[in-house]
Amino acid sequence: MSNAMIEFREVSLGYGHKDVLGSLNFTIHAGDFLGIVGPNGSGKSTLIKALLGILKPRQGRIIFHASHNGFANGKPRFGYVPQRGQLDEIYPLTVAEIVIMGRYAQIGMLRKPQRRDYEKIHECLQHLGIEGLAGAQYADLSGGQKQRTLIARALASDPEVLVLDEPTDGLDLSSQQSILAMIAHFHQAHNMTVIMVSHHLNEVAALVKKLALVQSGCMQLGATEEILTETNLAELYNISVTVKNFDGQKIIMPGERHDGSI
Amino acid sequence: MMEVFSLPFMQAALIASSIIGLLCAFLGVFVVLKRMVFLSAALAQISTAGMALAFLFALDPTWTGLIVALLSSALFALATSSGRMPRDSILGISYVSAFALGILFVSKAAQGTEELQHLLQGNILTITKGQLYLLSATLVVVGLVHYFFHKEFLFTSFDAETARTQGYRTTGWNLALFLSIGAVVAIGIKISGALLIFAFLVIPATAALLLFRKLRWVFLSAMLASLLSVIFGLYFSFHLDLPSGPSITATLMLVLLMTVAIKFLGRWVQMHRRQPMS
Repeated sequence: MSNAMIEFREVSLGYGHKDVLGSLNFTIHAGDFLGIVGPNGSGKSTLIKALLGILKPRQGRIIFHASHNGFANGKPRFGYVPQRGQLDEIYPLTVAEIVIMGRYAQIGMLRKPQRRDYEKIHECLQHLGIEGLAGAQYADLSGGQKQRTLIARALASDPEVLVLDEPTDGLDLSSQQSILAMIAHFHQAHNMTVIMVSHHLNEVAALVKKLALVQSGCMQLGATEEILTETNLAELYNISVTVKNFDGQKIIMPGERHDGSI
Repeated sequence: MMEVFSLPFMQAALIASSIIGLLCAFLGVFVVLKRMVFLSAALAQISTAGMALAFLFALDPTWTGLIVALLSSALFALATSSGRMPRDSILGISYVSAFALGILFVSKAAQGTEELQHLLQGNILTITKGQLYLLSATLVVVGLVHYFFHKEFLFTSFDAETARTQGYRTTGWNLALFLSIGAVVAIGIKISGALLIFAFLVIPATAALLLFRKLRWVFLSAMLASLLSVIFGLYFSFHLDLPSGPSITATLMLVLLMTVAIKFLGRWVQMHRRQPMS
């Protein structure tokens, strides 16, 4: 397809002598909203790291197609939202100081942030509804506010692809919903390519157009409707699963474990 | 106080200790934030062992200590980035090995334990012009590097993974940070001694982080605490006839205790304002 953006061709991933994912063949297109789900330790984060260029493939190639606008550095500009727990809150940083980090690559070395950079971060904070928290300490914020800060930082880099690692993990229901609605809005309003890792199946199923199930070194990818079947999920999580359509949305209900354990 | 610092040897001690204190306090903020306090202890000990080796083979102790410290900094930066072995274990093993080697080298050197004592306590009051020039050059180089690349050091320290997605070579920035710490430790240790260098790297930054919640104020207050401790430490050392290095270290400890007291008092007042006694 002409709008292919990122292509994994026979890619194998792993660390040291350990293979994590093998023979990955798939393409992410411009404007895709892809969800990546799978049990803990299945290789979701490894896949994301390879996509972002942090982890080199052991075999195969990751090809970045620049058919539309051309990528500045041979690959798309990624806006990455890491898991909140990865950041050490001992750093006495304000929300604005963290969000401006998203501009650093564009500002370049030996240069200080300019007025347009501060305008950009103000705009991002406004989009995320946290402009009043610009001077607040990151460590003092609630989980939802921290997540918004990290999303604002990712957006400050003017990303071509937004990559989120477990964005709703550890959040209360209301924060989860507002964060997901915000991500969906960015995808729709700006036709932004979004890749989201999550282990909350229901939230992913309701949101994304494409789904990747990662398990036991393999990955299945396709339209959410095709991938989210009771058979696939039962295999993935080793439990019986019921998938119901309710008001146009897929609802996943877990049952008993296949091996009889609790 | 002015009369104490009108003496030429005290002026030289003040200038040299202030430069070491300012540099260590600034870099110490990164050391504490990156939770690698043990790195400064290990580097100080390794540099000491390097100088002890220099005494044994009649080499220049400053340059030998510097080379050994820079090589070790590079190894630490690369080893701790790979993550295959716990960082604390690497630093701990290096610390004890360097400590033992330092004692072994000094025991076979001509001057023996006298040199070991100098290496641990430093020799602030007998600074040469050459040492002062070297320190000033270090201040300029490290200061400029950290002024121009402050945002890169901060980003790669705070969130290395995201920085890598933005194209930053985090191992390189980590290496640059470790090398600047290694250089300051090695050049300062001959003057201040291992004890004071370690204190300069840890105490002012810890006190500043307790008291301030803006990064700019943390850096500034850590450097100010260092500077004041140098002035008062040297003053007490002169008047009470105490060794200068431990006097400055004791003053730094006093600053930390005062900070803890201020912090505690602030919390107590806040708590009692919220819950008025019935």
